[in-house]
Amino acid sequence: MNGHDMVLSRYEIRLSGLGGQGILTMGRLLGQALALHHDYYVTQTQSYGPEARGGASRADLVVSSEPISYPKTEYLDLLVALSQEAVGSYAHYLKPRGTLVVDTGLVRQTPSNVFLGLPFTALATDGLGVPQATNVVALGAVAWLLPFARPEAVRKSLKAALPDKIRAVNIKAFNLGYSEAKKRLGEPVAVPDPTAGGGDDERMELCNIMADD
Amino acid sequence: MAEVTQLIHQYLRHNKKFPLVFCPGCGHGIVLGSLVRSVHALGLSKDEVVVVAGIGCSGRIAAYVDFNTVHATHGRALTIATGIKMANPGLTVIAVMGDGDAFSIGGNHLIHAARRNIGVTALVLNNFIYGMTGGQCSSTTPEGAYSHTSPMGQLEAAFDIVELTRAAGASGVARGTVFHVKALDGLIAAALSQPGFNLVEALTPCFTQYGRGNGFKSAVDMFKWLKDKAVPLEAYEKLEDKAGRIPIGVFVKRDAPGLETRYAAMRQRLLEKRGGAA
Amino acid sequence: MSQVRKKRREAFLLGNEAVVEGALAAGCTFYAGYPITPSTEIMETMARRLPQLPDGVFLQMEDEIASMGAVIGASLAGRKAMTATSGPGFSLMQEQIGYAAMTETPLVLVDVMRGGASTGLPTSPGQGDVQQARWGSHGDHPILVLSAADVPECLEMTVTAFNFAEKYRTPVVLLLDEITAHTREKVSLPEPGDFEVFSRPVPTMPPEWYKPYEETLRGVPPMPPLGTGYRFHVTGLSHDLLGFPTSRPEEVAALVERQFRKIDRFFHDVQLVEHVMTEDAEALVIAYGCVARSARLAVRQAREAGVRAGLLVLKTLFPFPRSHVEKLLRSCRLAVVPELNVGQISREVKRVNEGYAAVRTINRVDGQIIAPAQILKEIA
Repeated sequence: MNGHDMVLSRYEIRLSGLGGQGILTMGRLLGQALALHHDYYVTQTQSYGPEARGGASRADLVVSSEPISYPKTEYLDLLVALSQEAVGSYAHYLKPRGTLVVDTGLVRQTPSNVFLGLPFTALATDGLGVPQATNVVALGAVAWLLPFARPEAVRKSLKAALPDKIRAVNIKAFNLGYSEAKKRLGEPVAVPDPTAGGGDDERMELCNIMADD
Repeated sequence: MAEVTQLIHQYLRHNKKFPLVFCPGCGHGIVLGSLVRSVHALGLSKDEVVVVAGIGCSGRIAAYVDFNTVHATHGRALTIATGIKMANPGLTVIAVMGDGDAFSIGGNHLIHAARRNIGVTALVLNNFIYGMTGGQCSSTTPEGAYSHTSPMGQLEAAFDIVELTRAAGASGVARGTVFHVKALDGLIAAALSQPGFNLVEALTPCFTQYGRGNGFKSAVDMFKWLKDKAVPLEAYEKLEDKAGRIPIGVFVKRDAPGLETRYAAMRQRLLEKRGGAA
Repeated sequence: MSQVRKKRREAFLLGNEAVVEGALAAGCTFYAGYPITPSTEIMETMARRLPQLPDGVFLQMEDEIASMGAVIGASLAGRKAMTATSGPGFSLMQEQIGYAAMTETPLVLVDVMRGGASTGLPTSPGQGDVQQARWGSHGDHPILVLSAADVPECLEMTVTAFNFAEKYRTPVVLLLDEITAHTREKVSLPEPGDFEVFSRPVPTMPPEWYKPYEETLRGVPPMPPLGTGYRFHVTGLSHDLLGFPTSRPEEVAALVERQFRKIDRFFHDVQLVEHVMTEDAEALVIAYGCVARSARLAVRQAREAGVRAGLLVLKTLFPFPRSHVEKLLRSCRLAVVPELNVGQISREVKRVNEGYAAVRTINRVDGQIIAPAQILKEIA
């Protein structure tokens, strides 16, 4: 089950794909839900190319029970990739036990066979007839996979952010993503225990990779 | 004469040292007089008038008049005037500029002030030359004219201010000269009373920097030239040979509401919409 | 679970959006600007918010020069006014900044720094405008330059910027960077009374006694809005007490001297810094903006590893908080100055160091942020 209060120390999420897939909106909605309707500190940053459509796009979130110093992600606990290009660019930023979630309709190749996948675009297109809702279907799946996320809080942030006209269909999209994930992806992902220790060395080593790239 | 003395005492600053900085024979003082007479004729209070001037000889006018005066950066008088008018639409804002100010370095601001039709009156003293810096050509220097930066004669064409400002969408456009003083008084007063962006181009001679190098024998000679070449618009249109003649008068009179008025109306609509929803 | 406490309004905002909340809380009613990445969200948010205020004015001008002109005009007319831009636009604004400093016109300018010179890296962070913010406009003039490191601070420092601008009658530059401006975080939306808000002093004497540039106790002469009966002259030329142009050396010197003194005498008020574990620090990091956040994590990690590390966050960049820095340099062994430029604040640190500590710099100009690990390597 999900929706537990958990102590987090820099849980890092990256949502990625192509411009036009609504990645930035997805990041904002998730961040808003975790920051305003959960008791977490959240920083959400983004990166995008100059193109409004088709370029690489990503939204990063750091979620923590304590104030966040460094606002960018260093090393990912969860990577959602809605394009092959995103898998290629970002999979190596995943922690060893981090989780990769892909759109199985768009991603043909993953670095290993350890990943979770749902055909988000196909679900939105065939299931709802609204390909533009792909991001919200994926958001539904993320809401299931994050054990500390409360789906009703994400729904609340979704409702607050969307205009009347498209609210209903997006709630439907969210519910579809959530229920599909629950049905097909198993239990929510395991979150590292910050009190277990041993994390610092790991971080140091991987920070060095970041600094050199 | 008594009337002139009265206007001087009423509208010029007592604590400002005279005589004016202008050269003998300069027309700028006449424009200054026209400006004062227009404000007086309209019965405007000195407190509600703001003069924003640019840099150059014309810019110095601001220091002499007893209004709220701002001596801006070169070319940017209209930008500051725009801010003032939008911040307090109750003020009568006059931007006093030279040809270099208004049409060269500030050309972009001029066309945009006209486009957005901000309720500012632009009074442009066009003497075809950069006077204060010692006689370099400007964007209104006639083709072929000599200056320190066109010693072989100006190769570039001059702007037609009237056509430029008309095309950009100004509410009012007029041209006068410092020889036709009564008419100039009327043009400025009319511009001040019409809403939106109004431009008055005042042709004014600069004997020191322009006339001497371009075949004029004296300042008086230049005034005579203005008298000969300038023709009221109606008469100008009937002329068979327009070459070398300059039409003066009112070219555009649209009476369109200024941006500040349209902005206030938009704010009011938003307020009512919110009031209605509550 | 019942909630009896009155819940504060909270929002998940970009740094740029938080700037707008701060500006409105400080009483800003006028914005004029020109769109430029990565500052545009400030302008877009203002475009929605200001027309909703009874006297709010938002203007999109034809360029950054015009934007500054409109802001100066609005301020002269009595408004609290601001603009926002990024590197290329900031360069265009420099002449007007000098005019505002010379005429002592309060205004706030937010420069969201991007990477590189010229067009550079429009969507990447940089901190290359620091010295330009101080000395970008020609001639000697006083100016205040502030910075912010996270989203709540964007709000807070914008309020501070307006307060300083009004209190000292000066342009204030708030330097953000692309990361701070484009990070979303939770912000408590300000309620009336949350912040102390200052407005410029206005004359209380009758107009005929008013001398617009007269010496006062604080060095800041009162400033009436245009159109209120005090008809005075405003000019960018060196001017006398009445505001009229002068070239008499004693009058010119007195003007410049007062303009600097009005801020110099209040260093204790305007030089804002934050100390993080500096009391016993042997290895000190001096940082500002987004880099200060990396430094915060690095210093914590260093402490965990047993290094006596500390961090001085500069919230005021200019006037450079010399006394704060100097004091720490005397007690630490090493000072590290990480910044996203080739060394613009480290120059200032070295200038005041006088051999007390070893000063090391970390400079990054490739559009990437300095990661905590990079700083940790220098101090641990």
